[in-house]
Amino acid sequence: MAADKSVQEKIRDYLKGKIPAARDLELTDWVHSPGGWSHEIHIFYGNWHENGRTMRLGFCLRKDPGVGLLRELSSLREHYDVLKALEATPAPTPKAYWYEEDPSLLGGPFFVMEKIEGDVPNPWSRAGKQFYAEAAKRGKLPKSFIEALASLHNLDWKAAGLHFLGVPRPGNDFALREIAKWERLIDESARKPEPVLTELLMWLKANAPVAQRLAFVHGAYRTGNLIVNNDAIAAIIDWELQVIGDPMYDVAYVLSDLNRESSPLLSCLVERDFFIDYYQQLTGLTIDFEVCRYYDILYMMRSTAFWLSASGLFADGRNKDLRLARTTYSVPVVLDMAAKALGF
Amino acid sequence: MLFAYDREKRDRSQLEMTRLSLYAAWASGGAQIGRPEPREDGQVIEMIPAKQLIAEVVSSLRNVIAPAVTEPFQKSQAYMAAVVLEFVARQVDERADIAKEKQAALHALFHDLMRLPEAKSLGAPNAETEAALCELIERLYQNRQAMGEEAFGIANRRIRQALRQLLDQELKIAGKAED
Repeated sequence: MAADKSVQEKIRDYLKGKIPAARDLELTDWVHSPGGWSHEIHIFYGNWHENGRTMRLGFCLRKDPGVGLLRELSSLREHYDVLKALEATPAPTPKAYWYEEDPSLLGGPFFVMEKIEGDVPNPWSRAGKQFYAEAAKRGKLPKSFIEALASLHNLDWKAAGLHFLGVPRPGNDFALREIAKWERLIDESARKPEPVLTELLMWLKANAPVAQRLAFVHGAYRTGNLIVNNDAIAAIIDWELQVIGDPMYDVAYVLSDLNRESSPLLSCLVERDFFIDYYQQLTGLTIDFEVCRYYDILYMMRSTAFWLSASGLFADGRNKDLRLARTTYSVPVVLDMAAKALGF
Repeated sequence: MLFAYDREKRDRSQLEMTRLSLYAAWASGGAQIGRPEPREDGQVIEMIPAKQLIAEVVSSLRNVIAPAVTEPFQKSQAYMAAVVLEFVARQVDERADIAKEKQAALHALFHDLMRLPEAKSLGAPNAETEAALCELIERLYQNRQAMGEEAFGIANRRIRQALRQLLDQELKIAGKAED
């Protein structure tokens, strides 16, 4: 879908200001990606002449639409700052170029980053499932998937300056902070009492585990949030839910049935035993399966919060995207999964 | 835990105005779809009302999808789908059985809890509603230490039994096949 022409012109004018040496700057190959639920995503190439040379560079622009999902929890500024902090680390991420707060430019805050070449096969589609299943047989991509995750958990987040994300106190503070964050969204979004969700929240608070160690955690590490190129993870994307916290939080997400539907492979890509062995080898951590089970249940609460927020935006008429309407039916389904996990 | 529905209750008239204006906007796009009937028991509507959802799909078909379709036959199909859905909306009524079953489950739960010696310290609810059940669950966990694990477990099991019944009612709509 091509972006609105006036938006393209505004972005071109903006980039001219940022790349003053560029002559005859033209933006081509526009894609307004339908992937973003919380932010608008525009992907395009800049073509220009500079000192007698022809230049071509891919860009990705993320913009706050004002009424996106998780708007209060997903700060574009934080997204940009995280990418900037990660540039000097081994974690595969796009370079962040410019952040703009001024809504007069595009109607809301936005930032521009490098477009990483590659694809993001959708693990929920038939073609995506087939892609990951074939990649699993070749063996290179599953290895890269685990190495990219380990690169996050092994990085020195203090040295990278990521403490601005907030640092939990020792003990079970990380889990309690996560619960509190999502409970706030539930409080803002729920249109009716949800007693199953109340039971789930109370159980989570009463059973919050102690973090094994604190690490930099992506918060939604799975296929679909990773750019794949030449059978390797070219970049980890969707930096919206990252925290300093328990690395088992990411491990639980990888192990979760939530992210593989009917596939026997974790995240539709990785053999479970291989993941466990190779991850432990790369990080020196021991996977605590009881803690992962707890976080899996916490993810069910988090999913419920997502869907309540999404369907609430639609029900209130603030967002007309029919994808949000569909989520009203997801609430009981994910609560059913949580209830079964808790034994009722 | 405070819920947004408390605020919604306070702002109900404002919300109703918003809904009315939304339906007026939809209606101007074609045949009128009536706004949802208020429920007789006055409870908050459970999910997004069916008529509101149909009206939004109609609006999307007419204003977003059909204009973007270039093939004449497919374009006419999109517009016709909108028209047919407007008729379907007039045939649709919200299900009454779900609210009834949920009310029965809540009534049985509160009745049983009042007779459970282990649950006496939780106090009586002021209404047999899901909101009252949320408060009761919070109280149960807060009083867990004072009650002791055995009493907590007995009350928690009975509550979870009722929660399963409530959830099964919602799953009748959310995709799980009915028995």
